[in-house]
Amino acid sequence: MSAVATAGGPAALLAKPYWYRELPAETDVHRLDDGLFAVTGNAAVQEALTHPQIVAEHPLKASSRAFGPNVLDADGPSHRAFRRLLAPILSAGRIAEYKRTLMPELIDALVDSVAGVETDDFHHRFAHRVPYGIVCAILGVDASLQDRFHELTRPLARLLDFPTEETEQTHANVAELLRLIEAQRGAMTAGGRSLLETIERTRDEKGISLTDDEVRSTALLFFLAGTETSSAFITSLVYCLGRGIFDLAELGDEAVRESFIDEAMRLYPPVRTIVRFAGDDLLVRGVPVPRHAAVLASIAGANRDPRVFEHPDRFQIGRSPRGSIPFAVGAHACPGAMLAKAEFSLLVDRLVARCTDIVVVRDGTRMESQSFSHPADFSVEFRTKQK
Amino acid sequence: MESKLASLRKWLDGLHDEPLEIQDDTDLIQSGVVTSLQFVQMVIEIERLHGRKLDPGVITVESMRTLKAIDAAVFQDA
Ligand code: HEM
Repeated sequence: MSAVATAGGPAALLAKPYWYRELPAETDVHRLDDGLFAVTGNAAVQEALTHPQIVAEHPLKASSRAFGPNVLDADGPSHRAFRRLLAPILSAGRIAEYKRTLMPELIDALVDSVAGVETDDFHHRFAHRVPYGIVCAILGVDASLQDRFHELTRPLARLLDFPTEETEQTHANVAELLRLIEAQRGAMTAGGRSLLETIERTRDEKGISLTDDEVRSTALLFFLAGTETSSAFITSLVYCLGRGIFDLAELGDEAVRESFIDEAMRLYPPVRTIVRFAGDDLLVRGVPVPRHAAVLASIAGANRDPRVFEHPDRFQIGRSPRGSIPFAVGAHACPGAMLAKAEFSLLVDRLVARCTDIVVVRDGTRMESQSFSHPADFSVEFRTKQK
Repeated sequence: MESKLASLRKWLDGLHDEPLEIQDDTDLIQSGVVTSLQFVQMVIEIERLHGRKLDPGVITVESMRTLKAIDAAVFQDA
């Protein structure tokens, strides 16, 4: 199979937010280069992400080199062990508790700070506040360190992105975050309920045996996965609220609100591209993929596949979310999905209670990033009842 | 016949439009000789030159970091 010719090669292609659109529509599996494949249609992406021989672990992958052994870069029994550690703090019971005790205060504070404001940098100034507050509390990191964690974590997102940015700065940030996590691990101030404390308590149970390094790396990965995805999506959510022509009050209804959020997630999934590796010579949709090849699965492409979604680029509240996979599928599907959706629903609920209108007043229509994607160049105004 | 290391050097050269100075101890990632994705792709090329499957234990950052390390871990060990 010859490689698809792309202007500037694979790196230039992958820097484009909608790269899947540039590939031939006749096939869903594309050879971009020796050892580099892209998978685009909905069924093909789902096949790749659930394929038993397509693996997440690759010792040379940027995230595994930077973070060390962690949940995202593991497969098989060690991956299941990591997931078991995360399960208790992301259970339905815990989420109900976070909704009552943790989220309202953080969300109200955010809504207070945006009400009546026009901003051209929502992502940088506001979007992180709720997710960082929530994930710091769940992880067991002192609230006073939240800004420091934000400052150090945001540039790290580039380590998981395409093209990957790996600099002395990113390495220094990883080292500093691991040091801070280690200090918090020692502090143990959350009455036994935080992720760090849960890990400490259960890491030697049920055959799970993690080194200190693995505990720290997984905590850091959890932090990045929980904060930067949600910050990116909250930016997209505000953008969709601001671009829509409808009565905001409609979103006071929980079913309508959830449908709105599902549709925003379908069109603006923060994780647009996932990288995996062929563990052996194998086939995806009948196309041979050689052992060790990198397989780039386009969540963004899967979510706009015209074979699954009629008028795929149209924002349409009320359509079935079946086939939309913003949280991925397979062994690595996001364990934080329920938590994230609860957070977004409460946020929209409080925003629409407070604002008469949310309006995007300037739109550069630029998207940024493949791993924590969001609209990057727009101004939004939160108009309130008093105005 | 060209050595396997020379062939690998040629493959790395081929990734760039301009000629490159790759020393035996150049850190392939830090020097920007390969991108993150190309670092991963390089394993396939090494396996092809080697002529048989690499033992998973050999594919580590340390043994793939420089041409010298690759030569010692893979080609000399053949
Ligand atoms: C908009 C919100 C979110 C989206 C769209 C999202 C999406 C995803 C996706 C697509 C993956 C799979 C990545 C891969 O396989 O390479 C993933 C993994 C993960 N997510 Fe989320 N996520 C979100 C929020 C969260 C939150 C709030 C948490 C935790 C508090 C979280 C924790 C994780 C973890 C730990 C993983 C790694 C799972 C594994 O490798 O088994 N995520 N997420």
